[in-house]
Amino acid sequence: MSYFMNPDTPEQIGLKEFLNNVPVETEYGRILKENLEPVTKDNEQDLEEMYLEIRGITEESKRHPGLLKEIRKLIHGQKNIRKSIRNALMDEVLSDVELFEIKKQAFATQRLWQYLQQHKAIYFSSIFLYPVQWLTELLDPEKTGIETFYLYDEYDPDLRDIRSRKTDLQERILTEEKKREKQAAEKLNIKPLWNREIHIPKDQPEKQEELKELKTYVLSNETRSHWIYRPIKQDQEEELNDLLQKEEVLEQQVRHWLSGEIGKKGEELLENTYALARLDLLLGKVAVAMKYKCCMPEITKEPLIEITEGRHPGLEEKLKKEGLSYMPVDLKAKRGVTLITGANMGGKTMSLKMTALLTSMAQMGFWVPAKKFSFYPMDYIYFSTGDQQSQELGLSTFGAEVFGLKKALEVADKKGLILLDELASGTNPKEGYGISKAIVDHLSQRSAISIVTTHYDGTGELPEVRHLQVVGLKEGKLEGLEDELKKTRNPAGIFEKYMDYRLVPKESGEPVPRDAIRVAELMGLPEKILMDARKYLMEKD
Amino acid sequence: MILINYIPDKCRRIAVVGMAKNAGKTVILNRLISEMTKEGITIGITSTGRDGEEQDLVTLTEKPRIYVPVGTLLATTEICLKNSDARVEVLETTGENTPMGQVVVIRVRQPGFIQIAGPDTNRGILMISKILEKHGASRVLVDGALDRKASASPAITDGCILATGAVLHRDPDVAVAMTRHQTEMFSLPVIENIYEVKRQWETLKTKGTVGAIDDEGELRVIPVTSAINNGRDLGNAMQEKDMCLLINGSLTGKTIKEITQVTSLYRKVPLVVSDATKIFMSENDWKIWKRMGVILKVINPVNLLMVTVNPISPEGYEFDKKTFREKMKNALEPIPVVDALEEGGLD
Repeated sequence: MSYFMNPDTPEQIGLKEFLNNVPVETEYGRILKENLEPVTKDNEQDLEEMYLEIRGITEESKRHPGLLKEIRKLIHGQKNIRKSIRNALMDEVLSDVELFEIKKQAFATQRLWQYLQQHKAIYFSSIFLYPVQWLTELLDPEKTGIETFYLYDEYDPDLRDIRSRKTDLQERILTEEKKREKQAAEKLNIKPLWNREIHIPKDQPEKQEELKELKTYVLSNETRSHWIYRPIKQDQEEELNDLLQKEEVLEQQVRHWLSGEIGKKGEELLENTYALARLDLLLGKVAVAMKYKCCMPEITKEPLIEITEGRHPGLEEKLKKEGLSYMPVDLKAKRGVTLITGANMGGKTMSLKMTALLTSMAQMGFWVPAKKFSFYPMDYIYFSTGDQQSQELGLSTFGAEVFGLKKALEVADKKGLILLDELASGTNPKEGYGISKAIVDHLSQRSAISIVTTHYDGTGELPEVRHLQVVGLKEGKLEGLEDELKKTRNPAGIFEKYMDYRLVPKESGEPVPRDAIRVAELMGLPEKILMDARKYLMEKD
Repeated sequence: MILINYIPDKCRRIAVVGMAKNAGKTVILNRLISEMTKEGITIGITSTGRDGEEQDLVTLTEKPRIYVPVGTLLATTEICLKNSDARVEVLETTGENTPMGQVVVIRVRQPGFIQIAGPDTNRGILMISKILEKHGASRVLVDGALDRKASASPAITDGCILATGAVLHRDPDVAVAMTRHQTEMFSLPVIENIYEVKRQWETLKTKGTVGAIDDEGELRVIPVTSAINNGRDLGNAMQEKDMCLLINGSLTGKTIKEITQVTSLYRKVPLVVSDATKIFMSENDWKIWKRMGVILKVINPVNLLMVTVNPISPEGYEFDKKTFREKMKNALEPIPVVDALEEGGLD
């Protein structure tokens, strides 16, 4: 996908945080999640299938309560062995550790496959697994079912033979060594040390001669006070070295053969790892769908977004921690411009973020936190926060906004979602009003769905523009709010209780409510300033 | 004399730590393996890995090659396996990485020499020990890296064998004194009111690195990132009413020096570390500070099982083994002292 969002948009709208909270059990799942791409209208069938998979698992887990836990256990901790499989595909020889990892995953895949056979309802085509019984049999020739790996004797009769000769020989060498030590000890009356050396004190030179007679020890070093003798190598040790080398060669042959067998079906094994990744992410999708009480999105024929009781999961979580409840918001937008006006702190920005987040989630195959959600898969989502600064480009708030707007307008004829927050608020009000009205006018004629928030009166006085308004501070409860604000130094969390965040259609002609002064008053700006502010406002009007 | 006679049954994880290279640690490991095998004990072995600079990556000679019988469980790495002639069954991969590759846990199927290697963090060693035990090891031997005594930390092992020898110094008396300093560190007394202090120690771990407990038992966290390089701040923060100063992390000679420069409270307030493996200072410095009245205490004592001596230095000199051992024994009383190479041998 060429362009879907600006690189900083996922963070701004809370998509990044949301994806971080999607649980995965394996590195496969994590890689898939981190490279998740939105699905466009052309592939809407894929999206439908993803939604149905979530429903399938949710329903199956209602019938079998332990299901999710069980599947998670079955895929948990699977390591990423794609590199080893690719090595085998390229005819490289795998190491014992790689063979071990492949064996372990083969057993796990086998168990998962068996489990899914009992739950055909959720054995979706996207998680189809190629059979791997041949692989478990290949790597478990003793048929013990134990998930460790060893280059088993069963692989090669010659290997078995060499190993048994080796063991015999080792035994004989040890016996001979013990015999020699005993002999020396008895003759010299000196006990060999733990490192097999015999240390002869230099004041007993005759013992040196005695030891030489045995022809089993050789002088290896001397200190001021001692001669140090070490055992002469036995002839059998050469033989042992020879066997060890032969064993090594045979083992490498076995590894080569095993790697070749694995390579033959390497493509299938790779496919299985991708199926594992999809299953892992699917479980994550189910988990967040349950956690955030999500609904299955509906894909519309025409460009449209309709959210019923939508929630922003990041904000909802935050409020929950503070003991506050989230007020869901309804929003409907079609081609052209939908304008949102309303109270300061009225959640306009949040409504935009929620729209962007829910749409992008849905396009990545997630269910969304709403009662009902209908949408049209977008070619792009453009989101402008209105207070962004682009330090890399060296632009001010307004500069950065204009820079982004230019980009958005270029693609406004495609079917996308353009979300503009506090349009042109970063410059002087008169020009800002002119620019914002012109942009709204322009966008209302284009194919994209645009949702714009603004403070400017009259921006929405255009026939094609739908106008929504935040309900705002709950009338009749303001005294409570004032009391609470007086009692605290930190107003965070208090406004939320008294604010009605819902959006309602605004009749044309009604003035945009002015509540900045009221909010300032409630928050305790000095009386004198407030009075002056009202005075200047009257003069201007 | 048999080494395992000095190891009580309740010691399941034993660290073998060398005072220096060639102090005889490998011999001790081989002896323990041989003795335990004879007793029918399933052994698990791991080693404290080391960072690249200490590791001779070309020859890989630094890591001891030990002889392992069939059935022994080991932690090693992929590269070490290539240098071993024992034949092994791979039991588990751990995801712990060292300069020599990923740490894997194996079981010996064909006896032979093998290189052991393992993770170098406390957490890693602990994890490996648990894996070894899961696969049936009833005793775990931890091969402590040279100059790194972390593996002797009571947080990881419940018993420690210290290997020392002629290699430390050409003068046997100096070699004895150096060993004595180390054992003295290992034998530092446990702080009074240990249960109360342990409780505050847990609190400290969540809030900072250094804290003082006053006479009312209250913990006062001192805002420093670590004790290292902040001795002056620690000294200045000490108060008359303090009962002890808890230091989570390492305590170096420099820190103590700085404390003694800014306050005299060190004579009254003990400095407390988690265990002796966290203390880094020279023998000489400790002598002076001890005389000045510095009090060092620990939360967890190191259980020093024995000291082994190797009277031979590979540099070409050898002490008289009897005299050397006697000297060591007298200096370290009541810690058992055993000759690393003698007192045993093949049947």
